[in-house]
Amino acid sequence: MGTPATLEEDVVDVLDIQSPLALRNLPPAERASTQLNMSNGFDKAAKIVLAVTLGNIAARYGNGHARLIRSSESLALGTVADAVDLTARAAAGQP
Amino acid sequence: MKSRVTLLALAGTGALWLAGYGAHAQQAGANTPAQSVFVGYSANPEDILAPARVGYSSADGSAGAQLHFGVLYQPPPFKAAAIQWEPFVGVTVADEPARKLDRKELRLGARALVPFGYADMSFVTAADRRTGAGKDGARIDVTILPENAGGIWRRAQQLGVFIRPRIGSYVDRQRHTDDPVAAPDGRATGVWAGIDIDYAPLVIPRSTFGYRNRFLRDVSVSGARLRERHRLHAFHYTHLFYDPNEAPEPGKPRLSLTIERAIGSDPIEGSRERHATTGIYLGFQL
Repeated sequence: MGTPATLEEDVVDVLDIQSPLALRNLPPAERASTQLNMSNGFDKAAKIVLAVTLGNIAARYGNGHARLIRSSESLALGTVADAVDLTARAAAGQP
Repeated sequence: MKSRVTLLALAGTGALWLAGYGAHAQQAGANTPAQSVFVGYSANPEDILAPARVGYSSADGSAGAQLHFGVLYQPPPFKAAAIQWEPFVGVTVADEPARKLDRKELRLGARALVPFGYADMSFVTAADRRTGAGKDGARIDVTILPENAGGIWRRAQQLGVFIRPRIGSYVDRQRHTDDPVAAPDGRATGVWAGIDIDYAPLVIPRSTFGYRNRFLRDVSVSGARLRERHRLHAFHYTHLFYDPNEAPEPGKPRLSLTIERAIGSDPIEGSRERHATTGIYLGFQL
């Protein structure tokens, strides 16, 4: 299975599954600044349910310290970097 | 029978709400999320985090200022039965002279989230000053995200079009009334279905064109109520005055503009009479 996945790779995979974006193929800098907006496949409802999948990723890497992600937090996501950051914070149990 | 099932489901939600709140109170501390009080939201049951709005609307010749304003509080979320639950308490004021609405309501509910959709369920108790009526009720609204099913849904999503089927059920009880025509006493239990279609063209950034419809049908009624069917069609254009890709700054309001044309009746949240309403609103959230 190769090297174990990282939190960032898992977040990028989930965003790729949920949207028409192909983030996996982008260079890291361009990927991080990609916006999660309606022309990229994320409307309000899509961002609301991201709370569940990102929360699951956080729980997987959280080592027992993870917290849940609220739908109001995932609704406020702007870019892919924000999504990775929010998931990492949730995994560490930070607000 | 139907109303009993709905009430049982809502009673279950209420119990979960309290259980989750108690469970979280025990482990409160480091893991508290950033923000849990939302000021300047309309706390509309179909979109609890919709911005509050002030504006002007006209319906069938009568016109006036419009205000929808709410405060929403969310205790910490919790997981139960593989579903993420987000309880909320909302207080809302809705004033719309054009549609003869003047209502204050208290809403207690929870949002249930799974990866392919979410459901908002709530109990409400409301006072309507114009009809002198007090009402209470309960409702469940389910929003489905069909993109993962592929096909036309996915293709639409790729073009910036979002199709959201929505279904729900409601219990609506009029406790007392001064206007038996506009707000008859009694209880109605029913179901509703609708679809939301939104389009964000790439060439007009931050703008959305949308259409939504609602079909409501009473399944059982009691008291002075008659079994009714209602339809609502609405078109809207929304423009955001802020960059949605930047995190909201605390204390700084985020403004948006909405122009809406709605035709039909919405007996639960709006008016049971059919209106053709045109409005222009400024949305704000803090």
